Parts: sequence; C-alpha cells; structure tokens
Amino acid sequence: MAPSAIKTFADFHQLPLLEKRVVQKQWSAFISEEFAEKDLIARYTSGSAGQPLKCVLTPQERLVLGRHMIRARLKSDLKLPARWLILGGAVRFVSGQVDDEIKSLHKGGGAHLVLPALELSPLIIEDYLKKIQTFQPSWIYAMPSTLSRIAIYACEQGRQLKMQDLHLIELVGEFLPERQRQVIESVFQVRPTSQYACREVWGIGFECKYGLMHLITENVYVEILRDDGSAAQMGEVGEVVITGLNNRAQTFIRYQLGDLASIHASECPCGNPRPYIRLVGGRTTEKIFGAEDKIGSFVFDSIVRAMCQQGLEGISQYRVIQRHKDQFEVQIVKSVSWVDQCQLFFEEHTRQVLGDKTQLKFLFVDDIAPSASGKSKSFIVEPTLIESNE
Amino acid sequence: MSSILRRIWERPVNEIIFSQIKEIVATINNKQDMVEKVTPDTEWINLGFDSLQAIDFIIAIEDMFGFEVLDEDLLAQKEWLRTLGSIVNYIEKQRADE
Repeated sequence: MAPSAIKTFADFHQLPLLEKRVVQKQWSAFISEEFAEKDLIARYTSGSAGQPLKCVLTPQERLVLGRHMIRARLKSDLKLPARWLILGGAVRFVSGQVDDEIKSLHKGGGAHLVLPALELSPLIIEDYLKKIQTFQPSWIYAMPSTLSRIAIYACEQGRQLKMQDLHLIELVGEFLPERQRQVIESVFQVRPTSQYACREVWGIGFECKYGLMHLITENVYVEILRDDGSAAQMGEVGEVVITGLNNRAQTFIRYQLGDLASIHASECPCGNPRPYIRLVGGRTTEKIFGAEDKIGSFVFDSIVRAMCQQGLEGISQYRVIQRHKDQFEVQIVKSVSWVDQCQLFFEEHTRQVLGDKTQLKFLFVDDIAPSASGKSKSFIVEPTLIESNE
Repeated sequence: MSSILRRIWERPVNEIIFSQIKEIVATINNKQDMVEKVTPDTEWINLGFDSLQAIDFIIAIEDMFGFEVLDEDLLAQKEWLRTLGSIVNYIEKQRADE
C-alpha cells in the first residue's frame, strides 16, 4: 500500500502488524535512507523478548520525544530546572556506565545526583539517605523495588525525611505493587507516578496525580487489538500496538509491544482529556528466587543491553533458567559477532548483581523456543524450585 | 532558501527577545558569563547543551513567549534553529502569527 493511499483510519488499519522479530531480522529495511548512519544515535531495548533491538533516533527526534516526556512530567508537577535524583537498579549501572543523557544531565541550570543501587546494604542505604537529604531533589527517578527498599529501611529506623522541594517521584521499569507505592509515599510524602514508555518511541503514557495513565497522543498512536486482530472496544483488554508519530529515521508502524492493556475514555479531574491506558499485570514480574528484590528478566536484559552498548553484539537470543538458589543455566544462541568476551562480560556482571556465589552454566543452542503462551521469556525460575519453597 | 525566508532570517534581531534568550541560555548552562559571550551569530550547536538541556531550552522559550514549537519545526532541522539570531526571528514570527 502506497502512503498516498492511506487517507482514513480504516485505510491505516489495513497495514500489517509489525512484530519485533521482523524488525530484528530486516533491521535495515526499517531505516530511512534520508539520514546518514553517523547522524543517528543508537540505543538498545531491554530485550525482554530474548534479544535487544537496536533503536536509532536523530538528535532532533530525541529532542521531540524528550520534550513530550518532559511535558508529561510538567503536568505531574515537575518544575524546571529540576534537581534530579536518579536511583539506578541493576539497569543502567551494570556496565559501570550511565547513559550519556543522564551522565551529562542538568549540569547547569538544574542538578543531578546519581546513586547506583547494585547493592543496598544498610550501610549504603544510610549513606544514601544522608545524600538524598542534603541534595533535596525535586524529582526522583527510580525503580520501585529500589526506592521501596530505601523507604522500608527509613521506616524501620524511624527516620523522618524532610523533602521540601520534592514534586515528582517517577517509577520506571517494573510493575509497581500498591504496597510499595504506599511505603514510598509514606516516607517521601509524595505519591509516586508510573510511566509507560519504550526505547522504540519513548513516551506512551504518564500517570497523573489521580492515578490514571494518560496516553501521550502527540507522540504515539495506540491501538488495542483482540487476538483475531480486530480492534478492542473501550475498556476491553487486548494487545498493545503502537505507531510512533515522531519517528522518522526508524519507523514503528502498527508495532506489537506484547503488553496487555485496555484504553478508557478520560473524565479525569486532572483535566487531561486524553484517554488513559490500564496495563494488565506487570511487564516484569518474574523475581529471582532467593533474591526477591530483583526482577530476573530486568537484571539479565540489562546485562545483555549493556553488552550490546559496549559493542559486544554476540547474543542472538538468550534465556536464563534458575535451577537452584545460586545456580543459573544460561542458554545462548550465538550471533556471528560472538566472541568469548561476551561470556566473560555476562559472568562478571551477573556476579556483580547477584553475588560471588552465583554459578552460571552456559549452554549454546541453535534456537530457543517460545513458551506455550507464545512469548519468549528471557528469565524463568525452575517450577520445582518454587514448589519446594511452598 | 527562498528570498522571503532569507529576509525573515537576515533581518536585524529584536534586542529585547535576544536578551531574554541570553538569560535562558545562561540559566540552563548555569554560566552567567555566557550572557556576555553569545551574539546573534552564535550557533545553537556551540551552546554546549546536552540533549536534555536542549529540551529545557525549547520548553523555556515556549513558556517565556507563550507559543508551542511544532514538532515538525523541530524534526525538519529548519534554518530557524541554526543561530540565536535565527531563533529570535522565529520567535518574533510565531508571536506575530498568533
């Protein structure tokens, strides 16, 4: 179908759905010839479907996508310039590096404080509490599990935090259980906000102060589809399919994210007329047995993504199966770029996150079949391990 | 560039808007001495902004001058974002169009 033939939504909905694996396999076919590769900035997805996807944007696209995210945050009471506290989980710090946009962020008009959270011993949390109190952030950006551990510790120690400038707590990357939300709110005196975003198109939804995650419709067109591909009704749960409205260098048109959600018409007291999205369940709910504060897929996806960011693109597909408390089987489908350094990187960084006792058994395979549900999970806990603990 | 556009970009910059732009640049970079150094010919890419400071700059302009920069105007790498002078002229034009 030629672009000129698309005149209505009905025409648009005739376009085929786009699977991530298709973009992986035919990556160049989705890159515009209008832009030179040297002008594109590459980042990788988390790889929760088994392999991180290389996503590229022009600096101008990053400006537009970033502005939509900042606007959403401004609606949630963020004030600029901000004093930004970034609490990393295993995610950004697993490679010992921080994304450049964070590293160099607000070095001027605002300020930022980055606190890695690979290890959160009582001693470290105590130190962090002092630093947070001194820094007085206006915006906290953190993983729910990380911030809730700090909040629980503060509660247990009877520590009162005085955060007079704090306007926004933005929680990312993990499902946010209500219990964690309450603990964080009780300690920091600000209700945490969740966002829904992806590396491909950035902002999809942002939660308002009334708890509804309004779609960022200036940035993304969201469809909810039934199993047969037909459009779900308002409020009906289906698969999330997105079209990036500001992606020019690498297009994502009717792109299947794999999440389940429903969309609802907005009659929100916050005044945002955009519909809101309600995600069903968490996207990252598999916890590592014996280290329940860590989300398995999140930890390993972060390591593989960091590996790619280092130029080690040797993994075509992978899956980690936890066999015992400290024993993991790592199944890997090698790509043509495999070098032994990939394995060393994986081992070293896994131990950094999970401890020196961690044993990894590597199995190199030709293919990793999806689970019965059709999804390729990058982390699984051996069912008998869970049963033995029950 | 068309002759009409050339006339827009090359006309003398509005000094009041330019001084406000300089303040925004200095605030975002947190370098007051930059106010003295920048001129209408200073190129955007030489302001030393990282990606998020660039977003702050655009949002600060929108807040200060009361209009919204269109996504298309940012995506298309138009001439208006080349120098501080061209940004001043763009702001003047947007305000006149409102």
